[in-house]
Amino acid sequence: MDYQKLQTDFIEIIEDNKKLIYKVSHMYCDNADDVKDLFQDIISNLWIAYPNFQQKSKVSTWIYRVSLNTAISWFRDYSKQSNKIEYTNWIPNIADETDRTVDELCDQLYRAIDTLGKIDKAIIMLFLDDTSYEEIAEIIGLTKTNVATKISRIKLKLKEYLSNN
Amino acid sequence: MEIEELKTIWQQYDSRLDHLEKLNKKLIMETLSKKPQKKLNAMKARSLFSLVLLPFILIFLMSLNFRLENLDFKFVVGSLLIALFIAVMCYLNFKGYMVLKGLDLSKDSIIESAKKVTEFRRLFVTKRKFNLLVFPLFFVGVVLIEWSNLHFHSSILLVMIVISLFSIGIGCLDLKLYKCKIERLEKDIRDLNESIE
Repeated sequence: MDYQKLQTDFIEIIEDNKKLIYKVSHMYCDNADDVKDLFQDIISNLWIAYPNFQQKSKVSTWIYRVSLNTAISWFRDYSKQSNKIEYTNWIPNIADETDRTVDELCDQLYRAIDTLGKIDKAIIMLFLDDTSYEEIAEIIGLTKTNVATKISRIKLKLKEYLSNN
Repeated sequence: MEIEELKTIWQQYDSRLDHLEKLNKKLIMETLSKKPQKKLNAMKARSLFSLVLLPFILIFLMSLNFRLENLDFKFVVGSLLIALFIAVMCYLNFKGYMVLKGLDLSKDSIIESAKKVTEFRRLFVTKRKFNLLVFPLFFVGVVLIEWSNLHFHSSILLVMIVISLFSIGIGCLDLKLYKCKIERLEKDIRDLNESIE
């Protein structure tokens, strides 16, 4: 495949799946600069892996895998991480006054998810995105039964957090 | 709030992301050409440097004073201390390099990646601990090797004391950062174990 075609196809895939990459970046970073950095890193890693992508799995599964792996193994200076939470800034600035409730609820949801461990975050994100248990198991590297058990535990944790806050 | 409500909120959030601007193709192309696995590659390069070049540099520096007339008990003990330092460093660097080399973001599952990253961070912490504990021995080794060339004028002793105090100071500062890193690592290991259970 010629290089130009490879690039065009790649950009098309990124364009079709940008929401997914945004969601992973937002899930693992707590300020706008870090989100941008992680977003770029994910695109770079996807581009490097793209020539070897053999379409054995769905494109979205492959993108989830690379994105989540990049987010989890993202080597950076942890001491520079800020604890400030700016969830509302992550959401694109397209909301009008009537969307304020949605913003608040999104904040609440993100705060709840943020209390989970890195892998649990990935599992719940995939679950909320309606990914099948088989696919979650493939991406995470657990069995389907383990995924089901994990999801019920995470649901309990989230429920407990949300009822206490 | 029930889980079904969470799903609804998530879907609302998802549909709002539909309004995201079209990605700027030119910017994507720039990203592709400028940042190919930048952080990971830098770490691999650093790790390869410590694995291959560092022992060579140390052996080269040691060899400068390697003369038959210098071969005495102090020289042998000094050489053994330095050789021990180099051997452990090489072993830890080799392990670190292999972990980084084995990291495949497009094929590894999330658990596999997390395990490898945790292993790498554990090695990094071990290396720090090793440096703090064994570096004084390395320093003694160098002094023993250079013993025949050292003339203990008060100025040299003063310089050695200043270097030692400076090293201890850096070590203390490092210890604080090191404790933070250990706490984060322990938390991540707990999370990982919980996920695998």
